[in-house]
Amino acid sequence: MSYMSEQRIGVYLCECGGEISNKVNLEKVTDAIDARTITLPMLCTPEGLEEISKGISEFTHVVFAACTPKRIEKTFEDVVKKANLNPYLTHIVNLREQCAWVSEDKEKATDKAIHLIKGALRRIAYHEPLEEKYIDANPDVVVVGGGVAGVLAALTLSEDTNRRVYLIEKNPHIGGKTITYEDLTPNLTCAPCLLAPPLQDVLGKPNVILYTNAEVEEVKGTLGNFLLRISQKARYVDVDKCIGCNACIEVCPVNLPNDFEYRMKERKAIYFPYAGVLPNAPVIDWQNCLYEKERCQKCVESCVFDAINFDDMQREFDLKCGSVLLSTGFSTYPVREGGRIYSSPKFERLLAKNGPTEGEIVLPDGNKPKSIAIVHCAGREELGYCSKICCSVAMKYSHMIHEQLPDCEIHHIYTDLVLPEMHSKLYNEVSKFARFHRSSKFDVREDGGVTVEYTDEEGNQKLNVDMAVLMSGIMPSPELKKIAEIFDLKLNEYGFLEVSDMKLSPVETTSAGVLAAGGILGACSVEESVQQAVAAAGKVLSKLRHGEKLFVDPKVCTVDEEKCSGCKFCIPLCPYGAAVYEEEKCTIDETLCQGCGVCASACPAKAIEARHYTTEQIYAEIEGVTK
Amino acid sequence: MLEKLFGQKKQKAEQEQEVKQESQKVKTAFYWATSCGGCEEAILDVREKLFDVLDKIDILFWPVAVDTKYSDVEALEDKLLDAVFINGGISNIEQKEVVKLLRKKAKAVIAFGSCAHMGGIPGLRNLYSIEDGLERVYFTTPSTYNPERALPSEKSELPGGGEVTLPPLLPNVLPLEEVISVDFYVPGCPPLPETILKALEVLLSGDIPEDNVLGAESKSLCNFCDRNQSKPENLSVERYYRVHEKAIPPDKCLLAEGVICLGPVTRGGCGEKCINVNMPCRGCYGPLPDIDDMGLRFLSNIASITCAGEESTDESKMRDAIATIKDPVGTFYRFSYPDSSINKLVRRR
Repeated sequence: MSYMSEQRIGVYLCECGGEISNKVNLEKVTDAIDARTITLPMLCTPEGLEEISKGISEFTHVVFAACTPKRIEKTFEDVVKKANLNPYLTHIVNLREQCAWVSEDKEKATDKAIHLIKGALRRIAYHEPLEEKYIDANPDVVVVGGGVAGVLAALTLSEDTNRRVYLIEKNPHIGGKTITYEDLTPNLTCAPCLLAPPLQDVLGKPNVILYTNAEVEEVKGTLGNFLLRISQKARYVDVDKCIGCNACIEVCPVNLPNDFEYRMKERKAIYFPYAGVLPNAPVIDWQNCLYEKERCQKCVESCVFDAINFDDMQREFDLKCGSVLLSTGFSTYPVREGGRIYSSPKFERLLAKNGPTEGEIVLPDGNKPKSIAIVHCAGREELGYCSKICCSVAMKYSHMIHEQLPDCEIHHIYTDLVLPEMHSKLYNEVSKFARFHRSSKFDVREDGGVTVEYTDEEGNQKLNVDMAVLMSGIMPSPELKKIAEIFDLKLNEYGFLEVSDMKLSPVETTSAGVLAAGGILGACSVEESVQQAVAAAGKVLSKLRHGEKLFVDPKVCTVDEEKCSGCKFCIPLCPYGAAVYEEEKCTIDETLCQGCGVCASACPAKAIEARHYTTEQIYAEIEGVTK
Repeated sequence: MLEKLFGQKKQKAEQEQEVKQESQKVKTAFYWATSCGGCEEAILDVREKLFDVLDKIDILFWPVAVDTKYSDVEALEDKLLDAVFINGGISNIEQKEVVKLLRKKAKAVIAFGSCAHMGGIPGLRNLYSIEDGLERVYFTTPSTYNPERALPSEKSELPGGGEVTLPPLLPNVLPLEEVISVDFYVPGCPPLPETILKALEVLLSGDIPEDNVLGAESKSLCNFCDRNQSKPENLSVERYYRVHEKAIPPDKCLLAEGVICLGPVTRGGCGEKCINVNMPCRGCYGPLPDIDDMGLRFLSNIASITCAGEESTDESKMRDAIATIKDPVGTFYRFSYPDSSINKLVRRR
């Protein structure tokens, strides 16, 4: 290194108003080290900084012996840059937190300070000037999950027409769980009437690009510069050509139970999960379709729009974006349902006008129930928490049952009622006709009718009813683990996504640029989902401003092509997906690299260097510290 | 010296005249220390091309081929020999004395082959004491028949009168550079004829690599290995196999299949002879330019790829995987144990 011969290293010592100098003998430090030292009462005050900027141009390399770099790094960087010195030719030694504040022994603290500065002096001799780079931040956003939260977030974001929003939905349709409900608590709003317009809206937005049947497989990058690998299953129906006329469905010879309707209804191999689904195009269930087995092409023949394409294939593609919003929702506790015992999501379909009974509350035998037990807290004990929204939903059921079957007896078996604010109004109304039984334990079984056993203050009770509804608890969706793994996110003790701070950043995950809203974060009502979705959209808008440049840290790892033998060791180790194998060589994408150095330490050929943390620098520092 | 050795720039007639003059010939010596003799054979493997060299050089000392005595070497002027090629590690005091003598008489010393370069396979005896080593070799190997428990000793009476002496063993086998200063290295067990010719070419051109390793590549074997393309990008090994424990398809990366192959840390240039017959690289061409301790480096590489695919760091699974590595010293340090930092540390103590 040619410039080493011309090195003039200076050391600025900070007394920190006595915080350092009372514990560390700075005169002794000055005597012990082999470099020019300047001691100032306080480096970070305007006077201190002024003093630094006056003298700093004398030096080629500078060591600041002060407090924690966390606090002071940026300040020194500014001063150094103003003096036209490359900030990577400086180094900070922490004399306050690491020496003065951790020892009562002045001599030892001083000794440690001397060793640390000696290490810094050795290290800094190997520092090289690094060039800072800025790249354009990508303003586009990927929203994962097209439920109420995802759709509302996408709509909010799409108002900025210079921004593309990619909406990734696992199912062939959007709207999530909310669209499958009839009414919503607490004020019994009609869910399809409420949600259909925004769903239509999002489909019509030119800057919202929807991918149904799609999932995120892989992610690279960070805020401002993500690269997502998406896989999309074949739908076999061209959504753009299809008008949803149903002609194909009428001719399809296959009959199957419809899982979306909890098998209460049949569907064809080409089908809409339920009426009014969006996008308004059916999907083909390839496993049960007769095309492959019998060359059945009845649907193709029936379609006048040429919308059916049996050559459709699963495909993978990449999406670039600056931020990701996760809103993949929740799932419900799998209660033991069947026959006359209904889980709450199944009962929702029974209530729905577009459901299997067109909203009529009937037993599997077609008769109307004369008595219904609504059992709260199914799975609460197993889950270990209260799902907070089910009580209100139970009130909604009571209300809707009573409206349809005024003579039907309704029983609530509950442990505690969680009904704040508006929700309690619903209770006040329901309590006029429904009967409430408080019990910590219950057992539900079908025996011709349904028997519910529970224990109240007066002992064991038995209740015979025609039908029972179990209020299933809210739990994390099964795919959340995979998502957390892909995005390197943490899950909380209940398996929901953890946010970086519950109070102050309730929609930001632990990865920069990845936000979350709705049931992915825990049990929440529709309105809470929407609040979070809009909050997350707001965070994106404030972080990814147009024209904003993204700082690319030069402290990254680089590959020396002359040394790289293309052995691929670095590739699986990189936590950021920055190392790739191209043309028989390994390369590192500097915009994705976070400079962690895992690859550098693993490279068999030592072809990778972690800039600013090179082997020479580290060895020199160790040598200096231990000497 | 090398202009003299090859002299290709000069006119042929002129050259021939020069060759006639004894004093103008390149003076060389060859010596073998603790080696198997393979390096000597490797020189013969150069075949007819050797003749081009032979009439331009004068061999003043070559125990395996020429009848010269140590006293002849002693009688030479210092620095008279242009090039001395030494193969084998140094493991007894005779070898130590001879190489010191040769160093004195040589302008350039070349450590030839893995043993002189790094200690080689005989260097694995550094794991044991001299006594334990002799015990094993003379009494307990399955092929030993020694009912009289005869052991070589420093002095033995001959049945017909007189006595012979043997040089005492050193406690360790040492790479040549730990006994005398070495100018150049030609790696390999043994060096390939191509490597030998290339080494001579490099010497000739004067374009000597910084690390003074001649005839080998500065990139790893993987760079030249046809199987590297098959190595997956998510390289992860859950269990290791010895070569006889698993059938490896001829186009698959051995390491990815769980057979420890030192290719990633070993210099290329060996013609991938082992790889081509489905054997993993054992590292005879020595470490890549920036690596001091190839076994240590590769141990750390193995740590990186063992159960690398596991998202959760299941320690017991990793421990089980590592436990499938048999004979770690012989695997990671087959040719380089005396050159390893651990053996150096042990020796210093």
